[in-house]
This record gives sequence, C-alpha cells and structure tokens, in this order.
Amino acid sequence: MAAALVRPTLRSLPWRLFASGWGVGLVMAAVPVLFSMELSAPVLVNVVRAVALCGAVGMAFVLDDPARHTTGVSPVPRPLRQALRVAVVWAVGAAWWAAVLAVIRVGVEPARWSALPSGAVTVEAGALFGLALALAGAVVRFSETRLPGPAVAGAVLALPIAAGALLPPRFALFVPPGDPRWANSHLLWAGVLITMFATWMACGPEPRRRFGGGLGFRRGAVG
Amino acid sequence: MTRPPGSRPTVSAAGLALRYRGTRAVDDVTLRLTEGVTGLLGPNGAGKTTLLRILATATPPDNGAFTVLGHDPSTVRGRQDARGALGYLPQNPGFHPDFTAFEFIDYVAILKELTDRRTRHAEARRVLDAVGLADVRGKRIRKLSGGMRQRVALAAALVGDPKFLVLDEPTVGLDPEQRMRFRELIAEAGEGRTVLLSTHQTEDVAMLCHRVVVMDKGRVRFDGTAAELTAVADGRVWSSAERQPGARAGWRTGTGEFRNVGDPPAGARLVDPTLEDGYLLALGGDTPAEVAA
Repeated sequence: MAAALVRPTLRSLPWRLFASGWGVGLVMAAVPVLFSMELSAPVLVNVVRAVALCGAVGMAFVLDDPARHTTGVSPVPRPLRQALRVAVVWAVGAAWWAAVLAVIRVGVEPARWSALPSGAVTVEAGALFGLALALAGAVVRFSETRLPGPAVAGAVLALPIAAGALLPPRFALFVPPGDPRWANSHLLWAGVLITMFATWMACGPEPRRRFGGGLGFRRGAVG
Repeated sequence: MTRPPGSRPTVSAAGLALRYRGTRAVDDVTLRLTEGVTGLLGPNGAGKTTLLRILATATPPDNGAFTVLGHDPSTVRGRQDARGALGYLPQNPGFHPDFTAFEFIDYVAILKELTDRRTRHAEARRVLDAVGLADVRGKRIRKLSGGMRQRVALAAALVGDPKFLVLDEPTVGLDPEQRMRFRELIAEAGEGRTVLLSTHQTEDVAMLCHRVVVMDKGRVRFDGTAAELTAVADGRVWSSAERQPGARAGWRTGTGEFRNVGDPPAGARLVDPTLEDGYLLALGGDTPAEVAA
C-alpha cells in the first residue's frame, strides 16, 4: 500500500514552493562564498539560521493538498498519508541542508569551519522544520483548509522572530557560539524539536468524536 | 418517515447533531436510506453539506449515531470499512492539476486499497468509461473543462464500486447539456446502490429521486416521495392578477400573472402544484411534523 502511494505522493507535492524556500536559502548560503566574505563565527551562525528559516518556510507547504476533500474519505489512515509526504520532503530537505553546509564549508577556512557548531545548528534547523510541520499538521487537524501553507509560512517566519525578541535571556534561543548559554539553548532547541514532532503526530489521527462544539471553527476535521 | 415498501435500510442515522459557529448545523436528524437515489433538498445553510459530510465519515458528529452498510464509523475499524464501501463527491472537489484524469483516478484507487496494479488500472479505465471520459483520460486535469472535472470527481467517487454514494451538489455550475448527462450518470449509479444526492434543483429531484428529504435550519422538514412532496401543495397554489400579501411565497410568471403558494383566499383560482411548490411549503413549516408525509 505505502509503496504504491510513493509515486503519486511524490507527484502531488508542491515542489515549486519547496524549491523557492530552499533556493533562496541556498543563495543566501552561497553569498559569503561568492563574494569571499570573511564572516565571524557569530555572524556565520546567524547566516546559517537565516538559511534554515528559509528552508522551514519552504517546508510549511508540506501538507498542502488541493485534493484533500476529494481523496480524504479513504480507508488509508491520514497519519500514513501524511507520513509519506513528510518522509519524502524531509529526505530531500536533509539533502538540501547537507548541501547548504557543504556550500558554507567551501567558503570558510578549515580552522573556522571546525569552530562552526554544525551539529548544533542542524538541531536548530530541525526544530524550525518541525515547527513548520507541527503548524501545518495542526491547521489540517482543526480546519477544512486544503492549503495551510501560506498561513503556516507566515507563522514560521513570525514565531522565531517573536521568540528571539520576547523570550527572557534565560531561555534565549538565538545564542552566539561561545556564549555560556549555548549548551542550555541547544537543550531548549532539542526540546522544541521533540515537542514539534510530538504535536504533528498528535494531530495526525482523524478524530472519531468532535470535542467542544460551537467555538467557530471545525474541530475534528478529517481528510 | 416513509420509504419504498420492502426495501431494507442501508444507511441508518439516529439523533445526529453538530454545532458549527454557535448554530445547530445539523439538529437531531434521524434518517434511514435505502437503495436508489434519495434527494436532499434545502436552501443555503440548511445543513445539507454538513449532514452529507457526517454520513460520508468526513466529519464526526457531536451527538447521535449512524451506520453505513452495517459499519459503525465511530470505531477506527468501522470507519475504515465504511470508507471502503462508500464514495463521496464533495461540494467543491479539488484535484492535483498536474495529474492526468487517469493518474488521479489511479491514485484514488490506491487510497481505496486496490493494490494490484493491473486490477487498479482496469478499475480506473472502467470508472472513466462510465462517466464518459475514456477519450480524455490522458489529459491533464488542469486542461479539462469544469464539467469534465466534475465527471472526474464522480469517477473518483465510483472507484471500487461503492454501495453508498454521497453526492454534494454535483450539477452546480454545469450547463444544461452537461446537467442532463450528469443526471443520466447518477440515475445509472443509483441502480443497486444507495445514492444520497444534495441539490438546490427540484428538477434533479423530480427526474432522479425515488425519495426526497427536505432540510432547513439543520432539521428534516419533509421525508417522503416526490409525489408526496408535490401533494403537500395540493389546493395551496393559486394564480392572481396582483401580488397576494397573504401568500407564503409569490412570484410573477411569464404571463404577467402571479403564482402564489400558501393558504389561498376564498374564491382563488387554484392551479396544479409542482414539486417546487411543495418544497417551498415544506420549508415554511415551523415544525418538522407540520409537513411530514
């Protein structure tokens, strides 16, 4: 079943939208290389973060499905249908992220590259991708919309910026390398990553009963 | 509730209710559907689409219970089994525009758990033939006309030969010729199946349905045959030279006379009622019992 679904799932995904986010991110990563810019480690990390944010914005469209209502009432459970989409997109997204790091590495001296915490920024990127996924999953779960992508993309841009501006220093997420809060902030990032995945997984199953009622939006949307 | 004698209910619902934006979109609906085409009539916002979505297992109800061909959709297994046995054409069907008609139907067939490639392709060809799209099955959906897309959606609903077909306003936006073609398809689909057809068009109901359910404000206002719905207006339709303020509904006809529906005044010129007259009167009832056949 899942094997038969791979090909149509691949074809049904909005690749142009993913490519837009990933393309902008890749260009952003390539700018310091193309212009031989010598960036300090904190600036370089922030560039990588901006690139990750572009990738997450692209991934906001992962659950966009114009045929949602036509194909939603099918015996194949929604978690399986969504997991296939996510697996395919995340696999390509992982390759894109590896390419981003490779491009950055080309333009950075070996000594500075070893100082770049690539594992830690990968956790940050994963958390941002997870944020896009969780939001898309929640929108699909709680609304009838076929294309959650645009709203989710806006939120994916806004939420990290708001978090950077509003979170107290103790819980700062965007910490420069070498800062004493670096390790703690990455524990927080790992927590965000796990929470986002858990949220997406919780939103996956189609409800058998609605809850609440009458609050103005369709809780328990299926398909 | 009336139904053709001797026919067994294939879909049963009791006390279905669903609130949406603070209103009762579906309010205590009890229904038994049998083989053949049942028409669901009602104005905008009557709750038709919500009821159809519940019965198609697309939206769970707040209250009430229902079974589809013996399966209880309130359980995971029951919902999967019900979905395997039903076809659903939503009000605004969406597609992957870059898919060809065949690819889209093939995709739907996989989702209907037809895993064997040869069987699946044969099924896709069968349903596309059935809706008259054999010639354009290799064409991308984005290049098909609105009527053809609607037929692709009907073909998708027919995949796997479902015994319960839920059609939400399938003839909206079609030109008269396409509408006739679609009616023919629905009539064919109704042979040996339970079809629930939501529509605004009383002509659809008159031509297709062995039974009519009228909904308004979330409740069933009438449940009976088309002839019984027409009979609701017996002796309650009259024509006049002037608009009649006491009429429940009235409109100027092409002859310049007014056609009035309601309780006629003494000496009124009564005319033969139509299904639409009965429908208008059914909507006017304050309680479901007032007009139930």
